[in-house]
Amino acid sequence: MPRVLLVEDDQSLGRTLHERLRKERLEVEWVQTIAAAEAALASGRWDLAILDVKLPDGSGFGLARRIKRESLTPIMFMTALNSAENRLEGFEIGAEEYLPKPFHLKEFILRVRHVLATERVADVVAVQGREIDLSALTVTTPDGQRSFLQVRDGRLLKLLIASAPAVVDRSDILTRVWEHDQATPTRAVDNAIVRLRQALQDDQGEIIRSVRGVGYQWTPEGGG
Amino acid sequence: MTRSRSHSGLHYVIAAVWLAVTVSLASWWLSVGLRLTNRHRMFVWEGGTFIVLLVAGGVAIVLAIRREHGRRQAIEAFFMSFTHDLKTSLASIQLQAESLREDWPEAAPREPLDRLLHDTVRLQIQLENSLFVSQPDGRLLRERVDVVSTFARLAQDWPELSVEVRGSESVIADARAFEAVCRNLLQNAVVHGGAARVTVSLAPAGSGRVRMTVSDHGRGVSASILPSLGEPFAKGGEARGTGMGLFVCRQLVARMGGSLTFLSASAESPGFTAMLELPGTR
Repeated sequence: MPRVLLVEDDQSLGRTLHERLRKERLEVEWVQTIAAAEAALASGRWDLAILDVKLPDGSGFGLARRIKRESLTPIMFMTALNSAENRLEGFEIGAEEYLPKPFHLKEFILRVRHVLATERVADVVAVQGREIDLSALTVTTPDGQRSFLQVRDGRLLKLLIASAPAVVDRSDILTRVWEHDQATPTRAVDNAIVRLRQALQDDQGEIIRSVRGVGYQWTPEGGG
Repeated sequence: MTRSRSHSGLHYVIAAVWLAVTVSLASWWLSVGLRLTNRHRMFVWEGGTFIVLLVAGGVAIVLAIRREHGRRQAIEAFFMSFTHDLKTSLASIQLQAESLREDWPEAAPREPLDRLLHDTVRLQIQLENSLFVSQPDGRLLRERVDVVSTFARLAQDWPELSVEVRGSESVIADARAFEAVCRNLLQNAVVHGGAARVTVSLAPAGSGRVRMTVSDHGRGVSASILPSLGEPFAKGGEARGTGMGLFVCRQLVARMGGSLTFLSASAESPGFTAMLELPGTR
C-alpha cells in the first residue's frame, strides 16, 4: 500500500483529505507542523509528500527543499499561495505537482494517483544479480560489493526505472532531477550515468543503455 | 507587492532629485549673497532660510513616503493572509460538499449540495477577481497552456453546462490568469445568460496567434451595452454581479499580450460571444 505523508495545518481540510485518501486505499499519515513532518519523514520511506506551504512553524517550501536534498520522495504542493512567484518557487524546488486551493476532490485524487503511478518504484529492485535499494540508496553487486549512491544519482536511477521501457530525454532528466536548474550542463547527466554504471558494474551499458542523441533507457533484461 | 515596491522606489528618487535641485539653487543664492558687498545679509538670510525650509520639507516628504509604504505593506500582508485563510476555508467546504455528494445515495436529492458547490465556485471567482484587481501589476508567467484540458477541468464547476471545444490549440499565457478569464466567461454564460451550452472554437489567427471564440447559447446582451462591457463596474443590463468580471478578463488578456472583444448575437451564436486572441505556441 503506498505511503502518503499529508502536511496540512487546517483541521477541517486536513481531516477531510485524510479520510478521502484513506478511502483510496492509501496509507496516510496526517501531520500539522514541519517538526512533526520531519519526524515522520525520518521514520521511513514515503511514496508521496503532500505539503501545504504556509505552516505554523515555517514554510512548506523549506521543508520540500530538505526532502528533495535528502530523499527520493516526490512532492505535491497544495496551497492557497498561487502567485507567479510562489508557483515558480514550487517548480524550482522540483515539485511533481502544484495544486492551488481551492480544488476539486476528483482533481486532487487524480493528481495524487498520477504522481504515485509515475514515481512509485519498489524499494528494492533486483537486476541481473545486482540489488538496488532505493530506500537506503545502495547498490549491491553479485560479488557482495556495496556502494552508496548520491541522492541525485538515486533520483536519476529511480526516474529511469519508473520510465522503463521508454527512453528518457537528457533535457527531461535535467528538468526532473536537477530541478529546473538552468545552469546545469547536460554533461552533468552523463557524469551521473557513469557513476551509476560504476556502482552497477555495468561497463558495457547493458542495464542503462545510451540512446545516441536522445538520452538513456533502463533495460534490466540487457539492452546490448 | 511588486507594484508598491517599484512605486515607492520611484517616489524616493523623485524626492531626492527635487531636494538636490532645490537645495543647489538655494546654496547658489546663498553663495551669491556671501560674495556681494552690498545688502549681502539679506541674500544670506534668504538663502539660509530657503535651505532650512527645503531640507525640512524634503525630510517631511521622505517620512510621509515611508509611512505610506509601510501602511501599504501592512494592508497587502493583511489582504494576503485574509485571502489565504478564505481560500483554505473554501477548499475545505468544497471538498466536504463533494465528499458528501459522492457518498450520497443515488436516490436522494442532491440539489442542496449542488447549490452549495455553485456558491463556492462563485465565491472563488470573486476572490480571484479581487486579487487580480488589487494587484494590477502583479507578475504573470508565460506558460504553455492547453486550452482543451483547461476547459475540460473548468467545466466540472458547472455540471449542468455543456461545454464543447472545437479545435485543439495551446496558448502562451499565465495558467492562473487564463483560467480566471475562462472561468469568468463560463460563469457569466450560466448566471447572466442562463445558457445551458457553450461552444469554444479555436483557430490560428495569423502571426503565431490563436483565436478563441467563446459563444454561449443564452440570452445574450443588447448591442447598445456591448461597447461598455469590459469597463469597470459595467453590467450587461442586470443589477446582479459586481461588473468587474469582464473588466478583469480584458485587463488580464491585455497583460498576456492578447486582446478581448465582445460580439453581439449572430445567426451562428445566438447568445453572448467573447473573442480572445493570445500568442500561440506554433
